[in-house]
Amino acid sequence: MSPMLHRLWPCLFTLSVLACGARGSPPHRVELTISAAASLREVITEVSSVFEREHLDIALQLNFAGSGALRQQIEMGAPVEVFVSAASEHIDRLADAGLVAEDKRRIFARNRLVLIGDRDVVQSLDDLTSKRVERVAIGDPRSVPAGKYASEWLETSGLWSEVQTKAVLTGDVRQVLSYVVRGEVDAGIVYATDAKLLALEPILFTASPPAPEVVYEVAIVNRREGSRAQVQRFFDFLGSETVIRELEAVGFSAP
Amino acid sequence: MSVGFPLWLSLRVAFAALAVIVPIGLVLGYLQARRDYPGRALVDVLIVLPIVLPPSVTGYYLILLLGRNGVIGGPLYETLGASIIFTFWAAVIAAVVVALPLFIKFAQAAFHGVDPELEAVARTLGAGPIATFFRVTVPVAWRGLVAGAVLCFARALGEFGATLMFAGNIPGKTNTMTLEIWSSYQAGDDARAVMLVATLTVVSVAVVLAFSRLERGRW
Repeated sequence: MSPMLHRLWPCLFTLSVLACGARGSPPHRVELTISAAASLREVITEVSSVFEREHLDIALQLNFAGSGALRQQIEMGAPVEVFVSAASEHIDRLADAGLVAEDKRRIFARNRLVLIGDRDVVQSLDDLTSKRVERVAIGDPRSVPAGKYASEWLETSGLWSEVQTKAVLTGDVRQVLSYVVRGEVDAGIVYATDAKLLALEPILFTASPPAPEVVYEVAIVNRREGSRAQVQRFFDFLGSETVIRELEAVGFSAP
Repeated sequence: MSVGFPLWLSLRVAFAALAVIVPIGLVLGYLQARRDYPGRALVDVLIVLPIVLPPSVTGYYLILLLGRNGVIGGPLYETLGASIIFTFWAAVIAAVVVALPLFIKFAQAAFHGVDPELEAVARTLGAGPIATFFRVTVPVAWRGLVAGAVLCFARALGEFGATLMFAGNIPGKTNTMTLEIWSSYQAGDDARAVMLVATLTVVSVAVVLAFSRLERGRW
């Protein structure tokens, strides 16, 4: 090794230590992973950045998908601290598996279903059975809450068996939105908040005929030790006035 | 729902795809192996593209081209009222696009290995170009062609990403084995997922064994 390089080593060492230090600042930043239903993407992203501004020691990793897929990830051991599901049943299943404590869950928000699509073809829920309607997009009822609520809505209206044969099942509710917007399907069932997001005027609200109530639940996943205080702080924050105002602004109802 | 429908559907899609792929693949494979024409290099790139592109990209292109508002699909829907997206044929097209390159590549290599002298001799003995192709070129290239067909059948059977996007997931219509595995897994229905996975594994192994015996000429 040349003498030049010998003299360089201490400098390189100092530089690399400095670089590591710089990357690690601010010190002791706790990272929390939040899994949330696809329909909450915008609102959770918004309130999370508010939370991070108020808590500089906490960094939030956001993970959005259909609630069923998110539950499955948690069951398989994904390191998730807080789970916001679009249906209670997914939290129920985690509670049954001992992954959620009963006193660490509560209702987060409420929503409702709307029918959206091509107004020339569909004016009512009954029209979904007409021949002119070839494809209807809904979330896969087995894993997507919006799809489960939609199938229940159609079932109580006595239309499910007919609509089922033309139902394109999606992995999350936002995919329904994109199929409808692109015109690949004639109609779809999404949440009122999804329709509002794209300024889509819904054809029909859940008011008639009545649809099942859409309830979002939030829960702390009890897996990792440590950082309990930070997790609790975020959990409490999700029930705060700030978050409720934000939820109402984008069309959800308060718990 | 039983495993029967998705399995039957996947097999039909894969066989239909194979039926489309083989004729196209034979022609293109032969052209690429033997002929020099303007734009040959470009065609070579286009052929390889679906192998290197992620299936989601391929699926997106298919929607842009053949969707209800697509470049081709749009006019088709307006004039005939027929749409391809979310149908059995959408699943076939997705399988063809992702599996065709494999067959072409294998055919190209197989034809490359055929001694042109053999074809020349057949021609001097009075065989036409078509007869020469089917009675000399194809039989000599047989093993490579069969290997290509096996691989592309397996690829068609296992196609997932582009199918999900372009053919949708319609129970009783386009829910192929791979889509059923995905949605059973998402639903946490592990019993069903395991059954589907085991069935698809057995079918795939059986197909490969059958073809390899065929290739060695034991049947």
